[in-house]
Amino acid sequence: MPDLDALYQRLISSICEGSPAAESLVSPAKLSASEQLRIYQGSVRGSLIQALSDIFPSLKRALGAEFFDAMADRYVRANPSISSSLDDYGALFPEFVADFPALAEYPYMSDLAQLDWVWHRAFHAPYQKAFDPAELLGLSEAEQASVRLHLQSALCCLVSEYPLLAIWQLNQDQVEVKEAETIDFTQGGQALVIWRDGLDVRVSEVDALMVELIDKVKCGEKLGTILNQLGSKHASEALNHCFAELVKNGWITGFEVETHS
Amino acid sequence: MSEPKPELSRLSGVGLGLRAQHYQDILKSLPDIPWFEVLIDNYLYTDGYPLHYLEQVARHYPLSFHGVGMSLGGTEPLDNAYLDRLKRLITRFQPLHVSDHLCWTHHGGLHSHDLLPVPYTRDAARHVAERILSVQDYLGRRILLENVSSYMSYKESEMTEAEFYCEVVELADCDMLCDINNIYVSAYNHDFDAVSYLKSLPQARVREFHLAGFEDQGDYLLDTHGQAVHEPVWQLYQQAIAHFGPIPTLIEWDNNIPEFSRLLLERDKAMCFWPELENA
Repeated sequence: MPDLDALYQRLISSICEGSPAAESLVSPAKLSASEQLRIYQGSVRGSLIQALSDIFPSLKRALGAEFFDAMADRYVRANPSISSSLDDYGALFPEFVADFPALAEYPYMSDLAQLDWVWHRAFHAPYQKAFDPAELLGLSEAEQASVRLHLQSALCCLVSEYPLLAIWQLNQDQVEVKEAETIDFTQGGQALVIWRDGLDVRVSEVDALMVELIDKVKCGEKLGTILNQLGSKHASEALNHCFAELVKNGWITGFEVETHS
Repeated sequence: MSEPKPELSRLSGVGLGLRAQHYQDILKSLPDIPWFEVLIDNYLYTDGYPLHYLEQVARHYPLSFHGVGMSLGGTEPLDNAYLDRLKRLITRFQPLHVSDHLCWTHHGGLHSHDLLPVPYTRDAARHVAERILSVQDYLGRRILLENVSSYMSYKESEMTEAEFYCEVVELADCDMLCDINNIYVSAYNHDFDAVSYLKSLPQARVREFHLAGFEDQGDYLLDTHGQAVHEPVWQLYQQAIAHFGPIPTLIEWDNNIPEFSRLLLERDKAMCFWPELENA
């Protein structure tokens, strides 16, 4: 259908980019061609702004609906949807927030946006069963050293220079903010892990060692290498505690043993 | 998942659209609703709470699947990954109806997430019908095709929307999901007669009605599903029931979603238009 193909190409570009390029395809009637086209342009923009509102609820609450919607409108005009699922829309929004001139004095807003985004991705992530530690314990010492652990796909670490967990918690829908309530920014930054506990999404504060450990596991480092590298810098009790947390929280979903042929 | 109970093997009565805001209400009180319609695109790409709740609702109620992502009027290849996910959920939940729209949604890598009308030409009708036939082959079942609200007319259209709709379903041998509100909205926007449109649809193919609310924008009506069904749409529905008989009907409410009890009032109102016997 070459004719239909060309018509659709002109129309979708015109609708998504907000341009009048497709007006000549439209038959004027009660409404002019440009008025008819503008209805679709507005409707598409509205759907995407609504998607951002749904995916970034804490950021919207922190900024207020009016500011958020105006900023989202700017994002939508510059970033048409390229996925069939609206749940994929907004991956670049935290970066956009970081560069948004009016938020220059609120640098933590992009971290808040990033937390909303990874929470949303974790909410829809595949359900994965935690692994059984007994399977690992059944391996020889040499095999254990060559193991690569698999973490649940939903799990994500965020390191912020700000007290992100407190900011996020204060901007949850169910929290009633008291007028005098403020965030203590002098308490410094936080590292958070966002993960799935069954169907629930959890946000937990973790220490720097845990961040390092998760990073190494995600990079596919072997267990023996991780233990050597981190064991030389950290007390064994702290490292053991981190591994115990990985297991207890169900963050490990499996492992592979490197075999030498 | 087990097969639907024999007495629930076809849709009947007035069902409601299943929305996340109402999961708890529904599962707690198990209201006397004959069926729920699922906006299936909301469940295709998730493995969290939405599917968990859908499983629970499906234990108590028959379901219909309503989609917005097939882009049946589009010219790009059908999205096999989308259809594959849909087919898996169909196998899992055994919905009694599967439907999508007479529209296209994306092209050239850009997604509108809107239901864009197709030019009403004979070539386009054949093209859409071929795609529906492919979808039906792939899913192994007949689908229902819904008319959309539209705000735009193409210069190259060579027939009316109703003629186009009828031609497509005949060529594709699929069924019709007739959205009464969409007919009313499009009739207002394009100055055609809603009753004539309705009565021109082939009786044997109309399997489901949809009812929803629109917004009056002054110069045109916008199909928002954000409020109660308007009086002229109820009047058109009354004529639809009189003409086609008691066709399973859905109340849709997708924006400004009210308390579940408000939806029940809309359901009750719809049932008032049904013949006494079916209403009992």
